[in-house]
Amino acid sequence: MSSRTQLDIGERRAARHAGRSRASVFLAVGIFYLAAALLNGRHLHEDALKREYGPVRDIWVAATRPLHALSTALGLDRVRGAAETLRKE
Amino acid sequence: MCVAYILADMIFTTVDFALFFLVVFGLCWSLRSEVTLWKWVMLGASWFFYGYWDWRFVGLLLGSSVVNHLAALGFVRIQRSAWRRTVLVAAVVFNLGSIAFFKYAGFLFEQVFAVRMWFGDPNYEFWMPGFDFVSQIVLPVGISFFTFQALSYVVDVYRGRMKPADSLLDFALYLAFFPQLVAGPIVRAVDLVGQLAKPGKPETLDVGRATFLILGGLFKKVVVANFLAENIVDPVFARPDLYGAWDTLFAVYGYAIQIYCDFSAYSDMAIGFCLLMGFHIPLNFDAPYLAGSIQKFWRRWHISLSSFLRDYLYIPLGGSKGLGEWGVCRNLMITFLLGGLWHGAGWTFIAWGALHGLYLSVERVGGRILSARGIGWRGPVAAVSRRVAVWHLVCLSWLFFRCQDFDQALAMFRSLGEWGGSVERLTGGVLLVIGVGYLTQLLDGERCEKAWDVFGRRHPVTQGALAALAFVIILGLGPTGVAPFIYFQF
Repeated sequence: MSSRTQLDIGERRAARHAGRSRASVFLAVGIFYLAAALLNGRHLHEDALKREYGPVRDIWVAATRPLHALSTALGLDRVRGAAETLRKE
Repeated sequence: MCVAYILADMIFTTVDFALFFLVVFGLCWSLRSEVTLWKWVMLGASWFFYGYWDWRFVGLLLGSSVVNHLAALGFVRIQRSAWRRTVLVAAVVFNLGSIAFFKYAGFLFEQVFAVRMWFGDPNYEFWMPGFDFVSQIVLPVGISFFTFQALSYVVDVYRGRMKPADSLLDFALYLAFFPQLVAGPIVRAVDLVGQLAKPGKPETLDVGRATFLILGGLFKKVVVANFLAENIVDPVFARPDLYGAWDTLFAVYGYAIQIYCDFSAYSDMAIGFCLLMGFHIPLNFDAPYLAGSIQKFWRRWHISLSSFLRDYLYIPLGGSKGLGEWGVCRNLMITFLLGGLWHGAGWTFIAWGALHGLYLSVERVGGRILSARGIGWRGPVAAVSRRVAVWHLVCLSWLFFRCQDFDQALAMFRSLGEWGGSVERLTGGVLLVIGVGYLTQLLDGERCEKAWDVFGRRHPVTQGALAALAFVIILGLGPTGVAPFIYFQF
């Protein structure tokens, strides 16, 4: 299959307007980032603490601390925890 | 010796990249009306992405952009065909010379030294500065990919298939565009320069397909590829003498699935990110292990590379038109030997390419002989048998591809003869993940189009929440740590 034919899958779907409006997609992406940050709050904070000492680390730690707190308070970190338990089994 | 210098912090599966993409996604859409500013910002973002690996090689990208675009402009302005051919040769030498220096200098130096050793003890004081020099050469990430893209540009302009880019900015942006910069797909200039030159504002974005590609890719890389590497492939290939035939056999099977999942994951995610920014780049994989012949395998595996080699090497060599069988086989062997060499500076990569050249040659000649005698094998049993045969032939070639040298390959073959030993690495989990990895091929091509559309029709809040949930579950199921993508070393 030529590269043009492969490209046509995307162009064909674009021609029939497969998908959603740009505004919808922006909203979906925003919700994704917010939800992913909350669901991953504990791990984001743990990864931030593992970075090399310096201003970049300080910024990451400061930014992820409230995420970690909120994620734990709401119990949202349990989703990833459950997946990790499943992997270990 | 060339050294791949990889910083893991900006690969697709990291937090750093997630933050980078959020910023670039916002800028991409907010600046769309100001086209020139948009191009400069996208170029700056792509250079930042590449410079995150190693800022020194942004200069290489810039230099490649200037040289190749000047060559393209030269084809338009120069009328004399001899001069145009000279410019083409110079551009090709520049591009291939860059790869040769960064990728093959160490390997070539070692081969020359090995030949010298045949003639007796060399003067080591004479050779040591050379070894010191080549050992310090750092392999720029993605050089094989963006150099081939630059080659597609100059050759297509020379052949009149496309006009030069409207400006150096347009070409530089195409060459550096971050989603496909470091590990493909190899997107032809004719397919992407125009899209980036006039970005436009599409009314709809294919969020369903983009989500499936990105999350499917993440699953393939984090859950399947990394698991197989850690649990069977790396341990067995590192010390095959410690394992028996079952472990070794499934380490080879595991590697076939690992490399498919690892490489197709990057391509899928690159396509998904481009879709979210309103651009289309070609598919790179289409369920390759479901192919019923080696020829069909190469129409489904690393499609952008195989079609590049077909159009810019195999066909200019003569292809299969008007040549006898020996001529065609010669062209196939040359194409695949060079294809193997493209992957890496090592005899095992060349052996991998030679095997595929041989497979295709035998398939072609054998197929014609059988067809001339009216011998054919049809039906479901034949179809399954062919796929099983292709799978094993491809796995045999992957054994060489994965090994560092022929000693390691030989050790692997010895282990494949040890059927009486215990089974240590082949667990139920490994079998399950190999099976799941094999089934992820069903995500390729248009097989999931209905699912894309179902997801695409959901409310955006539902889409975002479901995608985040899937994202976190995938991360939880994968091993900890960041593993680079295999094709970064090419």
